[in-house]
Amino acid sequence: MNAPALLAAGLVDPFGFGASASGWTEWPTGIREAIRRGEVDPVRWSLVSDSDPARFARMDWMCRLGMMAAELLAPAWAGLDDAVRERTAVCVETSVGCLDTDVRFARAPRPSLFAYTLPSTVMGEICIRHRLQGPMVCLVSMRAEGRQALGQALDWLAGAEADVCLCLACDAVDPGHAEAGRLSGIGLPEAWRAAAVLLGRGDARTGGADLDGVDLMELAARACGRPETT
Amino acid sequence: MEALIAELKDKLIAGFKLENVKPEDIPANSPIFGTGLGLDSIDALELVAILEQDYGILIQDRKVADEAFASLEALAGFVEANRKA
Repeated sequence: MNAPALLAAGLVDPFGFGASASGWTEWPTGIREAIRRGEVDPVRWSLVSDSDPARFARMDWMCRLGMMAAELLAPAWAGLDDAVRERTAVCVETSVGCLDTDVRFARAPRPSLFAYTLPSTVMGEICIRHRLQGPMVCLVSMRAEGRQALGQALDWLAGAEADVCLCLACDAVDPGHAEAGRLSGIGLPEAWRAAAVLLGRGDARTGGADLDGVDLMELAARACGRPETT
Repeated sequence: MEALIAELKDKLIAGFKLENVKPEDIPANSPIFGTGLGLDSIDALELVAILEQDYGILIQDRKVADEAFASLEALAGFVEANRKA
């Protein structure tokens, strides 16, 4: 198989969002402050897309971040026909998954929260939106840098189990839980970010990239033109 | 009844975080689910929880829910007839 080709990348973090097709945009100050306080509502779908998925406002942090990162691949999605989408795989890597939602659900159970108490829910939301039907898996790692997700995607592409793979590294840790993790020594990442890359098979036109062991977060940051210091 | 319908519309918008939806956008005589509001089966469960929490109404029968959720008018009539809070 030819080396895989990076078709598109997207990144959302506390400082802004970016896409390989359009570059990096910093959040307005008010939204940055809201994110720091752990507030969900100011980060609206309309900041990254003109479309209107009605469910976005009801999603938890993890799903919102993952959906936004995947949406930032929009130009590449437009180039995938239904036959390719049937063979597009999804691999999500996360460290703490939907821990914040699990805690909220334990404190005050609601049907609307229950749907988001699985870290794999973000995969389902993305697959529904982009009509993806290939293999999918959600991996949990200590540091969700996306190396395992990329490795899984490379295996799928090499084994011809998928023609295109979406790799997503996603964590949405509430500042309070991150602090609790530090104090307890568990070491929860102080993370609120999602990186998405779309990989396809390289050819003479697209070339290829050596992605073995690559940090997905860094790969997406570079592709999106995110400044190293923000 | 009009006041209760308006109250239920506000609860739908707030409870389901229906961004960009105004009360006047929600028809009183159309099905609550499976229409333009984009509500799904999880939302139906959430509405059952709202009715229990805000009006003391416990729905344990699918047929009862189907009739109550047929429209906002039907829901308002159901709430009026069964509310305990």
